[in-house]
Amino acid sequence: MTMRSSPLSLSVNGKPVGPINVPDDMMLLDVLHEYLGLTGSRVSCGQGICHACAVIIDGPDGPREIRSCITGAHFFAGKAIRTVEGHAERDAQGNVVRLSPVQQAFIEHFAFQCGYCTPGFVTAATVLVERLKTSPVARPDLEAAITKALGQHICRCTGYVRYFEAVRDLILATPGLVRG
Amino acid sequence: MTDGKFHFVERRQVVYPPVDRLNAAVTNYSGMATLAEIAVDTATGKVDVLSHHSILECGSQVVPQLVSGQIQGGLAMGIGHALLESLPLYEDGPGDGTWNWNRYRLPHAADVAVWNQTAEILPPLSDTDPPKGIAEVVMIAVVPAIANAVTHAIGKRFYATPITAEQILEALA
Repeated sequence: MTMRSSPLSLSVNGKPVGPINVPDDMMLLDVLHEYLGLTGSRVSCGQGICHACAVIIDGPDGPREIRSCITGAHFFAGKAIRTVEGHAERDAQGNVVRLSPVQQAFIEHFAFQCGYCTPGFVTAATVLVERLKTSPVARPDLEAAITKALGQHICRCTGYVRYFEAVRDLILATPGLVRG
Repeated sequence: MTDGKFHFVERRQVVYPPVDRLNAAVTNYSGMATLAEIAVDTATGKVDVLSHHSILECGSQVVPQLVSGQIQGGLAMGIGHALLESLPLYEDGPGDGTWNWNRYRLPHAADVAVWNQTAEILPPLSDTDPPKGIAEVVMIAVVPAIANAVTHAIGKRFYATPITAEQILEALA
């Protein structure tokens, strides 16, 4: 049996990738892991329930989160995605010189414990922060907005509190994200 | 690598914690009490955890942020055991190999009163009070707290967890 493959080109973390030959029915997560060596996005349920595999897709309507374990790789042909490896600032050698504000907030709040779900939470929180830059949230609605943006992500260690508080404190400390 | 206030320190040697503390984890028990506020929808049988408050005695804290994180995580797991997580026995149970998060419901943030929970940690008894293990201790009390709260709300008592919407509707029928 041979799997049918087709060439795939996309943008990953700001850099063009491909064309690489990828099986037609392969999910994006497997391409990230097995073809590109980007193992930060996590597989857990493989059913799109836990959101550990979430990555950012930068489309015409701005960034949004998409589950890479249930979305075929070829859906992303010509599109731009960001994985957890692409959030921190790096020097010319590829070493991390500064974490993203979301990553830094998670560390300072002791937000994660085992860390398995963290790439998904970084993805969701980053999408929320970036979307609030274009459409700020009213202060009384902030907690609900965080729950809506992060609420489907499953974490077994933390009970979510420090993740959510980290995102709330970061949003409140970043000018322009909250009105009223 | 230096990042903000954090500086990566190359490991030179490994120092184990004092061994007399290992006994503290098993001979001096931590204790935690939890109060839960819930609402029962008598039309659907759904239980909403509105808020909860916990009181923990754990000796001297080593890293207070990790202690509170452990409390929050244990509470979420306990809430799951009280209301959501079920592993039925026999042929159709998880032993059949087809179970995943679609059937084994874990608590989400909305299930655990993520914005409406508080905890207090009692001060250590003395300057030499050892740190005591908390681990799963923190997830125990919330289970009977929720079960008793459901009984207070609807006047029916339940003897098996999780207390599901189906059980509640059956009890109210």
